[in-house]
Amino acid sequence: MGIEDILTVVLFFFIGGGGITASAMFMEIKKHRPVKAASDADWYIKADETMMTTAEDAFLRTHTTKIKVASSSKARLR
Amino acid sequence: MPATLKCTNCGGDLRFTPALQKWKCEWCDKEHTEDDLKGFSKEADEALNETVAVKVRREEADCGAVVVTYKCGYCSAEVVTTEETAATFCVYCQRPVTILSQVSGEFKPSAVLPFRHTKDKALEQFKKFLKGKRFLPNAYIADQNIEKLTGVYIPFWLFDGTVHFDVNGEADIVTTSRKGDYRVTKTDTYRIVRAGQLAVQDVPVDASSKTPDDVMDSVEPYDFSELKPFATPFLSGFLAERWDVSQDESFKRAKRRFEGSADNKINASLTRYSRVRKQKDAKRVEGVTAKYGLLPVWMLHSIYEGTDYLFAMNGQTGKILGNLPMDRGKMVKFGTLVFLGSGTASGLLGLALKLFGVI
Repeated sequence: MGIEDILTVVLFFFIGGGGITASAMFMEIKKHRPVKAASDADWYIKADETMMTTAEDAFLRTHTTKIKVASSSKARLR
Repeated sequence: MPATLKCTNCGGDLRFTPALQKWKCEWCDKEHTEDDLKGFSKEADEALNETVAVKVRREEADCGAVVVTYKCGYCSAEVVTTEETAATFCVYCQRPVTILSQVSGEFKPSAVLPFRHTKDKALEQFKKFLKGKRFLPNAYIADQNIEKLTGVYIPFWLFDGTVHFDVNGEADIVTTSRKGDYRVTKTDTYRIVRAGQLAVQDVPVDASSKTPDDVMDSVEPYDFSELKPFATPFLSGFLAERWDVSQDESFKRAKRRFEGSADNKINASLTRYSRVRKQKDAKRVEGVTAKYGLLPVWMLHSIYEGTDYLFAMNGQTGKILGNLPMDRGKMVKFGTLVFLGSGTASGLLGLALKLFGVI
């Protein structure tokens, strides 16, 4: 086993170990943190006294923009 | 004046039993319905007038908190409470004590939502909630700490009202397509108008400065169809607080909640749009009424390394919210083990890839 092999093992040890540990720690810590709910009043709405009296959607205008992008053949050449 | 509930059969102490929705005698097991106990408050009020020594003293502690001392009606021991305590236990004889002056006059609740979850059920759910959480300190998960889980009636203002909303502006539907060498973005703009009203009933707003508002919001919703007219017997066997945040002050939060729901309704009707620019966003809250009620919460308050941690469970539905402490030693141990394990596996994988010429 040469020096290059040892360096590969060390590199994989730190990068793999570090990455997996960071994500495992993040997931574990998340379990201990409370998930707080939004505080609106949706649960207590009286449906029979709630209504949308006006709901209008009137078309005003259309605007179109064109942006030149590289063609797929050119992209392949690059 | 502290008062306790007595059995109509043997004179023993009564406690409210959530599973039965009745009051059970601790001595002879006789169960009492609400009707059986209807005279209780009146009798206790009469006792109040006849008793000479009730509140022993009121003093300010070093930390600034006001401490009020009562005398237990049974064993004459001193019952030390805060100024907002409405129901508690005598630490010497363990009898439930209701402080009538804290649930009368301006502090008299008009409604109470009885506990549905017993302590055993609450403990079971709490233990289930703690399962799989590796970093909990041993002192926190110890039985003697978990047993401190206490049923508390938290004071709430329950607001009714109607929000009238009137919103207008412009909204865009943006579509993107590709034509040859061009990316084409088409924006259709619409004039939108939304107006209407939204009525809400019994929106709870925490009326105790001791309990964090966000925690109390998070254990909602409550089913208010089970709301009952207030009677002191419901407090028996639980702790209770009286309000210390006024109705006017609480209304600011209620108004935000009303308006938040109106926004949700408006936004739900605008989901087809990619973006909305509101030019007018007017909301008016009208017809507001409020009642004072006590709502059931199982709570465990712990202090770990100087930080407060509060676990709360809705005493009616069992919905849980917990802010949990973490043991640094356990975190380091877990991190080291995972690092060594995953690092070794990754190193071996790297070596294998190298030997097989993949990298």
